[in-house]
Amino acid sequence: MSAFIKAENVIVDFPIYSTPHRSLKKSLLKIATGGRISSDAGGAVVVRALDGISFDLQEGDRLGLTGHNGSGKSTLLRVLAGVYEPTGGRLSVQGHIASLLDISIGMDPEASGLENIFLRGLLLGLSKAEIQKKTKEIIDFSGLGDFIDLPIRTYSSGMSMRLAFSIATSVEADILLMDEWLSVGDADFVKKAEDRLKALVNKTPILVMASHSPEILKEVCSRVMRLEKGKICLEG
Amino acid sequence: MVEKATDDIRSSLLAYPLWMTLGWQDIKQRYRRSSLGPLWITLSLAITVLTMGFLYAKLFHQDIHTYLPFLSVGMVFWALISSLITESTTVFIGAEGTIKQIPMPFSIHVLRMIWKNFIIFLHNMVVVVGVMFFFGVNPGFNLLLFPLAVLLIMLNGFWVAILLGIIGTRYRDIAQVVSSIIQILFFITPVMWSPASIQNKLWIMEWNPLFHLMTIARNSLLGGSVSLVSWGVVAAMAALGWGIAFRMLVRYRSRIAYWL
Repeated sequence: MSAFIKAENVIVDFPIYSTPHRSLKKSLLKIATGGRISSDAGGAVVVRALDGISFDLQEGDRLGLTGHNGSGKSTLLRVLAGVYEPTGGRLSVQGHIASLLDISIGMDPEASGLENIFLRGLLLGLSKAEIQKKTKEIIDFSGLGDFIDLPIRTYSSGMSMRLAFSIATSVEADILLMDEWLSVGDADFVKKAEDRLKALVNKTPILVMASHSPEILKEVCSRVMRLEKGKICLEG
Repeated sequence: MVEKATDDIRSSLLAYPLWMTLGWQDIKQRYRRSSLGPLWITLSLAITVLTMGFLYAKLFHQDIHTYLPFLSVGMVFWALISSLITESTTVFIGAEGTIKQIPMPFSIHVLRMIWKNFIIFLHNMVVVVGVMFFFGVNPGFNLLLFPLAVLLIMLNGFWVAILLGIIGTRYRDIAQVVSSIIQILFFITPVMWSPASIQNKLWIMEWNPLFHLMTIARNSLLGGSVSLVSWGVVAAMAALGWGIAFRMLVRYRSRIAYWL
């Protein structure tokens, strides 16, 4: 089956619970007093992060998301990743999703580079066998050499980013989600990383990427969507 | 919604390499760079059980030969049960970073916590086995019930974690409430004192669910007559609790990420 994303009028509302709202005391008092006390503290605040987003993506589509900070780009990416289920509307996604939103999540600073490859691989949904198959290639690409057996807390920040990048970009997926074009490491590595990321993007059927850079969007994406206050305000 | 909740649990169980690794990772992280590593779990329990054992045997006028095995089983299961309950309240809060970045079934976080506590429990069991050998405790055929007792405790831990995990994510006071309750429960649950030594049975004993968990644990390891009431209560608790927790999961599963 071919991969697709179909969003119909997707709405995401974030409830904002201030500390008083989060406490059980308030809720109990609310029951006991029929809501009088809680109305003093103000009603629950809801932030509408996405407001009626609709689009269709087929294989070969490269969608770029742009817009100001807080316009809903990252929220939309997370909704597509499946982190947040839309509070309204419909979203159907077909295909395996790889999210490069935060490439170092789940890494354990006390564990060795090798252990972290395994850990991150599992979190990305790979099986033990699949990870083992990729391990050598990941180590080679990261260029960490013997450092791979040391705890990553001993790495420089550039080194751990190189490892995180090498692991994250070793995935195979139908849909790739990215928050800004990834760029890591020193001058030599940046070039290598660039090529690897391009190759990954090229072989992945669907890409959704948020970026502030018009050049990158122009170079990578076939469609660009500008978001403003959670709505699509420009498409093309 | 029901399908998604069922699928959440099923796919979590199937992802056992993930939660087993993460659970083990949690333990390794705690003991990293210590030379004894997780053996500290065993060692610190051994020290507690021995000192408390000799002290309380004197205080309660108990025979050390029966009291020490009694206490060690009590302490090990109390450690298991109480951490399962207290850690339940923060089971999703603690995984906030992962939940907000990598979509995965929510029960994985629960299983990770349960697995971690199971490993700690196995380390602690070394002390129990040692004490049982030393004092020549022979549980007889009751020992066959041991895996069942552990399984029932885990099954109860699973639903408690889903229930308290969801409520604890929404209401941040729950963690404090639960940990205070657990402190009180320690004294009214027969961990250090034997129910047999109480002349006037208090209603609170029979109505305390942890009393029955303790009873099935001791039944399986220390021998003696099997309390069908306690086994029945624990099994009923698992069934009833799962009924409630599953409904919670169906209704609030998709809200967990929003509440974090």
